Amino acid sequence: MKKKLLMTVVAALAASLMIGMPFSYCAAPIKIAGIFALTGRAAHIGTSQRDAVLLAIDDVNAQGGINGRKLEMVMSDTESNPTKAVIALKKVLESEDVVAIIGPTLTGTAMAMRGFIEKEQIPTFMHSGGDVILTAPLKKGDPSSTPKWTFKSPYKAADAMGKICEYMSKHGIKKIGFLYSNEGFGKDGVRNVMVQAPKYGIEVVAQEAFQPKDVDMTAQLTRINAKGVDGIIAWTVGPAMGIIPKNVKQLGIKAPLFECHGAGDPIFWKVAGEAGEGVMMPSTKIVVGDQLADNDIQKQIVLDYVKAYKAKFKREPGTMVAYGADAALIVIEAIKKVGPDRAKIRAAIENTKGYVGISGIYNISPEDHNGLAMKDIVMIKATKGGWKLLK
Amino acid sequence: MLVITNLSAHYGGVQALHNISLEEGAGEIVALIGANGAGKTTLLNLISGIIRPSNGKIVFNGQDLISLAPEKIVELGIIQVPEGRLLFGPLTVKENLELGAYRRRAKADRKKVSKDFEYVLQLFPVLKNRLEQRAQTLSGGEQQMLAIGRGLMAKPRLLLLDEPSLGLAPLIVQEILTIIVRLKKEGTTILLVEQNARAALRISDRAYVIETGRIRLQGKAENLLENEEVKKAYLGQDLRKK
Amino acid sequence: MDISQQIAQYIITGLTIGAIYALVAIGFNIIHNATGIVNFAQCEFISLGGMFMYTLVVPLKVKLFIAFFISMFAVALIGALIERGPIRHARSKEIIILIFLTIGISEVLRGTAQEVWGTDNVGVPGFSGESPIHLPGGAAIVPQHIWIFAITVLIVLMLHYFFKRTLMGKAMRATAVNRQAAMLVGIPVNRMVLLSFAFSGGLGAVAGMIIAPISTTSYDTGIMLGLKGFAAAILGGYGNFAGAILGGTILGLMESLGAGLISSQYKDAIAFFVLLLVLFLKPEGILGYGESEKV
Repeated sequence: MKKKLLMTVVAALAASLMIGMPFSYCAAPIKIAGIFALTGRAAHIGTSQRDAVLLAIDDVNAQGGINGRKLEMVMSDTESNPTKAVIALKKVLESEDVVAIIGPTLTGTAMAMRGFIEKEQIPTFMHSGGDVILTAPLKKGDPSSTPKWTFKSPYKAADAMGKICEYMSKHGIKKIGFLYSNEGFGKDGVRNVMVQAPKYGIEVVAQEAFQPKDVDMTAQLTRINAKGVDGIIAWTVGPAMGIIPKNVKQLGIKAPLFECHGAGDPIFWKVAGEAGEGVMMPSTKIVVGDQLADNDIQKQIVLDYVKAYKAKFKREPGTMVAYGADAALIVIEAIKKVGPDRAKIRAAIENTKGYVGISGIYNISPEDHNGLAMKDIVMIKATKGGWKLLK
Repeated sequence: MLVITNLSAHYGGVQALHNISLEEGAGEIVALIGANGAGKTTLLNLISGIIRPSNGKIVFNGQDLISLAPEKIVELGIIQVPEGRLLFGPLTVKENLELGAYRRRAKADRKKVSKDFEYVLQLFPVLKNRLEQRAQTLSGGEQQMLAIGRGLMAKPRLLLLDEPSLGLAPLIVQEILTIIVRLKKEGTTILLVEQNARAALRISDRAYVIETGRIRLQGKAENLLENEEVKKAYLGQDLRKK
Repeated sequence: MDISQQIAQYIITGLTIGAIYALVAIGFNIIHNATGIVNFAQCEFISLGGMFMYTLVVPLKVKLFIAFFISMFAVALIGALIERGPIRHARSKEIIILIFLTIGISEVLRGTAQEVWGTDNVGVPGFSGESPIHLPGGAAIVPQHIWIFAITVLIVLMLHYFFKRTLMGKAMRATAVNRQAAMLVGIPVNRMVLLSFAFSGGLGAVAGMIIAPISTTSYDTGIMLGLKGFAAAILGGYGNFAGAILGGTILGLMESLGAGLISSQYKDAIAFFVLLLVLFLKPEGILGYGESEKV
């Protein structure tokens, strides 16, 4: 009798262990590295993107993982700092066997990590806004030495800038001022606006910089305004997204304000408050899913994703979430297709064609490691605490 | 009034005082004489609670002082006028005097404090015209007067004077000594540390001679003045002058 | 907009930011004078002030006026606890060790703040609306600028009164001048040091609160403002009360005039250059004079 009871207990215990870890028991997990700006000035972006990636991974694991193996993310923090980003990268590559990297968040951190990634030959899908991470040569003086292993999910800044200029020229804006944060992403914006604006017959009459942590930009805006501009583009992410609209309002500047393709995020309203009203920006469709035309092939995908995101994190996703999600989904798709092999994953990502993501339809090729086009971008206007899709 | 028994103290690992025992009655002037570094200042700082003894007892009017915070010792009426004056240089003369009465800032004391303020100015009339001047701009003699004045503002029952004549012109020294005698007459008990042994012994009732942290001699001041050993060691200069 | 109007705008902006730097610099000075250390937790006082006020005003809907005082006293209390705990009980009293200790405390506070509030920047409503006011000179401000000026001036006057007219304030100055002498007149020196930390906490919190409606606030806003305030303190003469005000004002003006008239790209470099130049010509800072009056 006693023996029987003991056997039952042992069996129950074994069963509970089996249920508790169905996959890890069978096979070791496939690991990817997630490198985000979890603290520091871009923390609000990094944490959004981390959540988006976590959601994608949970999803895959809930469906049984990849070939019975669980997917696991090893997470590290760049602290929004290029040096720390490289340290985090080296650390994770030394200590873990990862097949791909997702992140980092900021252009500056991405630039610092690029060289090492190429050397280590590990496919990396970045969330950084600046185009330089794809276009700048790795070797000085050799324009063909662009990265092979790096991809990026957000729109090319050139396209986002083009989208703004296109909108401006449609609305008769001809003379603009450009205000940018004096770091990787902002400087990338300067290069882009100087190329894109002339294409649409727009003249950039003022370029002003500020430090990413500055608390007041009225001096720069006064200078811009003195040039008699009829439009202003502010190219930055972080708290400055909210400070600039406040300063514009304070100075009574009438010229409309445009921000970058990272501004369409709930954080914008948190930092800008009422002053945010009327600011326009290029964005993914994630923040205006319900305003999309019914025949938009992204509409259902976007709405479903937003629903899942809200259910898991109890808050509204911003445009940054879309970039995070797409990076993760494309990487997962590639691993599913070719298995946990770095070179094969890289090739599979490079071969992604017609992938309908949240940010747009990705057509990645050896020449284009982003794969999105200007048509994927929408212009939105900050309206009453939310977003209005502009036609 | 003050009873010190077997007091020892260490200073950075070195024993600075060895089993010092000392007594002072109310109304007395007791002088501590000895060479530089003999431990006189250490003894005063032990009484004031600035440093802690390694052994021994300090009792003031029946109350044990060891482990009392410096401000509590001030409250009991034991006031030190430190060597080198230690004035609050950038503060005005008036502020220095006000701070002397820091422990007496209760409303009830206010009248008495302003009376003492008048008393100090009457004692040291030179300070009167300099009340708004920064203390660091005073001459050496004036600074010493201010230091004593600041001490008096605390209404001392026992005044610890550390080298009040240090670095002052003879005339000023005389003036300060006269004031010390006057304070005694008005009822203040005084423990006087002096290198100017002759001057100290002249105005004291009793004295202790300290050498390398130990009490070497003690007795009535007038007897010590005649003591050959003291004469040789501490009054030598004067002898040669004769 | 002609050039004189622009300059008026740059000056107004510079003075506003300068006022914040000055408050932070005074906070650094008060603790320095009482203890001889540089308290890097000052940066966290700024962030905490902003975040406390945000929490009270936005999610908890407390009246702004009340929230202001609650936050100020709360951060002052945190300042006092820092002194009462780690600083007072540090086994080593060496200045450099205590400074490192404040860096550690600063990290702990920031980490805790990050856990509590997350990393997002958040906005705080202006103390009396955000509709711009156009000044006669051609400059435009928002009401918050007036609040920043008024509160800074009021605080400076109150501190001046406290340090010059009250016995407690004089006792704090006396402690700064000579600790042992302060003990000998019966000033409870430890309590003065405690008070200096509470003051600095309160001042940092006020700086963080009055700038928050303009700059937004987050768990780490204080780092940049704190370092600028530190630079202002050095510029004016570390430990000097009037120097802190002067240093803050100069730094604020340099930044905004530099950005407006010379180059926005190099505005920090310009301010930094002036700082270096001053320190090269007068290493003790503009109003620093060695052992003389502090606080």
